[in-house]
Amino acid sequence: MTPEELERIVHARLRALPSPRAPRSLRPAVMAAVRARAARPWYARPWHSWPSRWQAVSAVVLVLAVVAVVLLLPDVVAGSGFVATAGDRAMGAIRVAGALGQAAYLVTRAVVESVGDALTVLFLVMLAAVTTVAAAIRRVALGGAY
Amino acid sequence: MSDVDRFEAFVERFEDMVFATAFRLLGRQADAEDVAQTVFLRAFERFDQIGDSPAAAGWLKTVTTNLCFNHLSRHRARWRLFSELRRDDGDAPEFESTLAASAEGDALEAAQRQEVLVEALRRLPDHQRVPLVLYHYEDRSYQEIADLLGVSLGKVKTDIHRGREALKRYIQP
Repeated sequence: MTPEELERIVHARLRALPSPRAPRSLRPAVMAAVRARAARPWYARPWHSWPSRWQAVSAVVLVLAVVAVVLLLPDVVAGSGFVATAGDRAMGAIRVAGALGQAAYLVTRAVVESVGDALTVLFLVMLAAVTTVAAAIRRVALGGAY
Repeated sequence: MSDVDRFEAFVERFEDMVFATAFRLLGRQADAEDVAQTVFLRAFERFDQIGDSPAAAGWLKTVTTNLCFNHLSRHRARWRLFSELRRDDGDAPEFESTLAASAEGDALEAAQRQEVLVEALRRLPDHQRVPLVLYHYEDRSYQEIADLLGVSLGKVKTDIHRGREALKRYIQP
């Protein structure tokens, strides 16, 4: 049997097969799901099935919202300083680190000069512990947001 | 007549076609029923556009075919594993011998022969059954099938030919 003959015979035999019929359970299942969907309010359905006027209204609102964001966002950012530049952030961090370092130096020197070595070591250990706990609380409780 | 009532008539009109398309492509009744249900829920969402359209049947066939492809690709790994397990437990060879014995019997009724052929088609591996069904039932060309499945033209021709060869023993007069 040539491939062409095989193709012709297979085609004829397959097309002669009775078409599978949908099971009886299909239509009740579909209609139950459809009735449940039809009972939902229009705004809880997919957007493309909303009434036409509400589709139009929602499209207009969306366009207006996008336009407003595009037009107003630069002014909002500039006015509030909401987004700092990378340079600003770096300078701020350096200034804070410098101030903290200087304060630590002054406190340490004062403690060392006035109290002595034992208390100095105890103070430094406590300072390290407090710093570690504070960092852990920031990371765990505040999600590292600050 | 409410939209829901009209839609029920729509489902009644097309349910056999949608189910048959899904069943031939998937080879499994439960999966075909799931796909058919999803197809009709999508149809309901667009019923105001397709309800009275003469293109409704084509739309339903296209959505059914696409959902079947999605289903097959999503379950491909699981199906492959299942197929291997089935081969391991000897189910397939038993089926092969049963079919061969049945197909060779002289007293076999035409209906039984058809059942045997349906079962043989259903048991083909996905990569043979799907292009074979698209070619013989959906009247797609080899090139269209290759494009739909995202495989080469040569692979489509080879898979369809092997599928026909596998069915040959069950269609001898």
